[in-house]
Amino acid sequence: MKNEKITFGRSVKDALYLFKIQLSLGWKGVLCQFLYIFMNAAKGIIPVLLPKLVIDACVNGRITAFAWILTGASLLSWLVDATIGITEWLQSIFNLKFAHYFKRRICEKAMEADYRDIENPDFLDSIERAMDAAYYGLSQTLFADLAVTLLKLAFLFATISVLNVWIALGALALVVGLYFINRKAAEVNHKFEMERSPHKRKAGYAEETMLDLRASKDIRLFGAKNMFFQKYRDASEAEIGIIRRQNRYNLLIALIRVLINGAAICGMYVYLIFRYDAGLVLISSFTMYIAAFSQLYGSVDDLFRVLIDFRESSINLRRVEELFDWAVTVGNGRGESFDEELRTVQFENVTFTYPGQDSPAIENLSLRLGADERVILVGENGAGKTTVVKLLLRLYDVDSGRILVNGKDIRTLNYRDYISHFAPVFQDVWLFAYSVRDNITFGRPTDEVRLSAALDFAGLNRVFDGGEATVDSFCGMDFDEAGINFSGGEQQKLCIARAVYRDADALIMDEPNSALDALSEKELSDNLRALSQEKMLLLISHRLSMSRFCNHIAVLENGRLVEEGDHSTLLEKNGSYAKLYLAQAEQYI
Amino acid sequence: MKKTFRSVFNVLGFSLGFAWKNDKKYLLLKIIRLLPDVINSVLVVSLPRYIIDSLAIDGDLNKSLIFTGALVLSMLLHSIVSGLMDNGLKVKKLRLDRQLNHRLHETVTAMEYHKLESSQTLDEYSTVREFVDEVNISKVLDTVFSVFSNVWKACAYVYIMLELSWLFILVVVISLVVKTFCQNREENELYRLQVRNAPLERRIGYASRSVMDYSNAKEVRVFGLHDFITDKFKGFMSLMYKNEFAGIRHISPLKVLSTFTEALFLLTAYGSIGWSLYRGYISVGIFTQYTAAFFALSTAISSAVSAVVTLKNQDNYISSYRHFISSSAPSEKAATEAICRGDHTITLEGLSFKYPESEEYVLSNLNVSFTPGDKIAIVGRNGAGKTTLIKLLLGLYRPTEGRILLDGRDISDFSQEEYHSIFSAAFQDCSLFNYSIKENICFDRPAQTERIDEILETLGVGDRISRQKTGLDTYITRSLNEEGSDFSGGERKKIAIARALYKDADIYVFDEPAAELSPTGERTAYDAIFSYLNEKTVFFISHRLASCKRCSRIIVLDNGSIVGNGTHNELMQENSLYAEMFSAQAAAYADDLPAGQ
Repeated sequence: MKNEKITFGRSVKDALYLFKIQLSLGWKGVLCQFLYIFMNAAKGIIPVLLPKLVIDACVNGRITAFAWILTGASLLSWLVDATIGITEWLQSIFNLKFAHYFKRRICEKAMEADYRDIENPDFLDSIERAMDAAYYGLSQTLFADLAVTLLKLAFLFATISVLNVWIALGALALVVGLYFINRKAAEVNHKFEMERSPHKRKAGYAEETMLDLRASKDIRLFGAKNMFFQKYRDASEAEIGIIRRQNRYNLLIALIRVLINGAAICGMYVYLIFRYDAGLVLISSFTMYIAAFSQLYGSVDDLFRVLIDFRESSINLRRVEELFDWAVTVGNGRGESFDEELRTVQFENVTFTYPGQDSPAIENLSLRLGADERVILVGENGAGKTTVVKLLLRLYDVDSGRILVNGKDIRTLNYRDYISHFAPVFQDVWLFAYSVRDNITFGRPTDEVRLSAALDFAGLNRVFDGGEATVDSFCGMDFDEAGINFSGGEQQKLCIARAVYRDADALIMDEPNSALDALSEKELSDNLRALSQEKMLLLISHRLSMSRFCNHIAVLENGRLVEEGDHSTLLEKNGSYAKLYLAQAEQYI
Repeated sequence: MKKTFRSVFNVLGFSLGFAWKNDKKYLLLKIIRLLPDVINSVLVVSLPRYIIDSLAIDGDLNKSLIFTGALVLSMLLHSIVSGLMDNGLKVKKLRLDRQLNHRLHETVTAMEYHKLESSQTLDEYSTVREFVDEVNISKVLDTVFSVFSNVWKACAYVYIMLELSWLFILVVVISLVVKTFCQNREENELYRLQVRNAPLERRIGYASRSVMDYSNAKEVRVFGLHDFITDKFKGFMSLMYKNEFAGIRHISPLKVLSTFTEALFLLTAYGSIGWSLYRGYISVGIFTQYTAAFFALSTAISSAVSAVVTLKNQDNYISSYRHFISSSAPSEKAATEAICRGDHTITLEGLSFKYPESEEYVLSNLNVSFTPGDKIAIVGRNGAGKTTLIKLLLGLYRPTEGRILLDGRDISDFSQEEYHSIFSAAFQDCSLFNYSIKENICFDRPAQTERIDEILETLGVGDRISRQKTGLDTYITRSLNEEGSDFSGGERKKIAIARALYKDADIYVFDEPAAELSPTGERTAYDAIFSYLNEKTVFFISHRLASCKRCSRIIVLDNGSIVGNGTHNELMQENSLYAEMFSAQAAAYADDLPAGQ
């Protein structure tokens, strides 16, 4: 993490930035804030002035003045308290809006980031820090706090200066010293937080997994819960070790503050006693000055706390911005537009290694695909088939070589434009816990005819005609008791329908039939065979029965292209493809 | 009012009981911690009176200096003692909270599986999570002790001002009652609001979690789902705000009323104290003491009432928590019989199943028996009920009608843990954990590394793993450990199969073991399974019907009923669904099969 020096100017700029965000969320929120803090300040002045005024009036027998003071004070108190009560509630709503704003933006960033970053522990840490910072560390009330504290301070300073300017200045000096102590303490605490973060993440993962539905079958079957309990405990204990050190440090700081505080109060009392003794101070003023002094001391403390808040808020904003500034190379909206129809896809000497791996997943791959082709990639597990698809979809960028589409390097194209030409079905099924319709059309206006055709293509017509499930049923029962628990195969078909609905130039399917029963598989095969010649079909499948209607078969072995051709040519060749194919075919004798 | 007392009592009972059971020292420390606060607050209010009166009445400078010294000393001692005590409490607090978390973990991992899929349970669970994540037991205890502390202080202040007038006491009581009433109504409104907003919070949480755990990262980017998800956020969030604003309209009049009473309180207190001063009944020092006591009393009452109302509110959390824990506890078996390890017969007797909120039966009236050592393939079209049947066999679901017998005994007679101990499985969704290979295979039990290596080797993934620097200790993703390595889908599948093979069980279940594997990988996997589990009972679900030929029995499900039960050859002779499916798959290879077949 960059350790940028936070200058005063920087903190003010950041505070303005946060303030602008608040304004954008509603000027009423800002008004509420000011009211709330202003009233709280006023509330603090009453205990200072009221006793003195009452003592003066009563001791000197001015009963009417007493009555007026009392009524005025009560009314004022009522007004102040009622306003505080109401704005407090309103504040909490605006606080929520503020927190949600950042939550949303952080999620947006998480969605926008390069796919390769989601496995990068640094990125993951940055997101976690940003979330923490946004939720707990950004102050919304900086300017309001500053304005009000300054006002209060001015009032108290004026009061005490009547007694002795030097006292007021003395208090100032004391608190300046305290400010620097506080600032150092805040820095040290940040370091502790950074130390704690990985342990928190480990504990969090153990906890979330234990409480997750998908993992629960395995946890029960294998009696694995003790392992998770242990993991949670270990991470917890590690964090506690750090927390102990943090606590010891903070205790020390607190004790120093207490000693300074005590000395100051003591000094003030002693000074006033001697002044009273010398007849320079009235008894009614005695209490007022004591009250004013502790308030002054507190207010100057407040002021510097506000300045520290500015700084902390700034530091936390840095963390949030560190995330927002994280470079996005793919989805950054830049690049040429790409409106043309897909004609050719070409891999040119492509090499790619997954981050953190030693050997490349794809080595020197050159492959040319035409838009009217039916392509199937075959090979053993780990041969690189899915990697080809991920590279084509720019989930990762190649290490060397290029991928050209219609002759253009895909890295020069605007990602959104580019990707709209592809409709993928991934190996692992993923559905939102929302409705089937949402999972296919994603909130855009539905083309009912196209939707119906897509569901048919995927073999789902039987599920949605008569029977409980409709297109508006929810997937799973997370949010709707009447939601449908679709079977594994049905879920895969929904993902196929989703891709088909998109009606893109190229349909990419990674093991689309892995969860389909024999008859559904045949149905899908037939539908794919009948797919419009205008679309490119790129298949990955272990079921080589699919390769028969593909006119372009590419065999990968250890990241390299070893054979290419159509089914009969490759069978004749009697090489890798033939071996794979016959091994499967033999089983059906 | 009675409800308030009952709620508060519940919370007190639960929180103090929990602390007592788990960390007696913590509780004692908290009690002792009350002392410095109460003592100091009384001294801080009273000592200035003596300082002032020694000056104004006695004219004794030294006396007032001594009292000043006493005041400062008291404040210092208080800060130091309470600071030290608080420090000692911090880690204990954290540990206590984590005990509660642990209780929750224990409950969820032991809970009956089917409950995890119920929307009702999930809603209650969401409240419980909120409680555990945001409040937790230490905050409840803090509130409890805040009540004690403030009540003590309030009593002390009232005692100080007792000399004043009975009218004053009356006003204190009235203001207390009104305050409680108003705050009570306010908290009710707050709670109602939370209930309305809980499902929205859950949806927002779901949306952000699904983005943050990256399970949908590919889909988001390729289908361009940014707007879709952002719109979901915005939609739920704006609904939340609407609810909150509605809440404010209800509480505003309450606030006006309660603050009015407080202002009245101020009027009365100052009125009587000032009057006494005016009439010379009291000195300026005493006046100072009373006014200080008054402000302090006002704060103490406010804090106490607010704490009591918070406790009442927390009762809702705590009731949800207790209800969740108790209703989720697996029912106690009268005699937790141990199952004898070895050969088992499994019988399905009139077995039917439907989801609780659904009308349609997923499985109807299944009757079949399996003998030890059987290798059984369960086949059928998608949605026929295969995985549901497996879940019933594994005791994860409970039959709606009929029963499952293990060696003649109803399986609901056994505890979940006992029953699970004789099973091992690899599911379709292959859930591996972000830990090391070894931990994914044998969890926290001592690893028989040779056996693990052998199994992995037989599955064809031994090489890949031995190439890693840290071998079996390599993490299978990099999210928790930078040295981790990402494994491909097929490799992960094999590790999941290895996990199933490694466990020493009597009955094994494989749901689509070869789904992501290449033809060679598929054969290796099946070979490994058949050779390792030669003597055991094994259930398979597979769409690759070629593997059925190796099984001793095939069960064919269609629309929840058994329509076929026999060997491959037997079923091919009948004009069955099985024959239809097998032929469809074989036909795809037909032209290329070696001549003569």
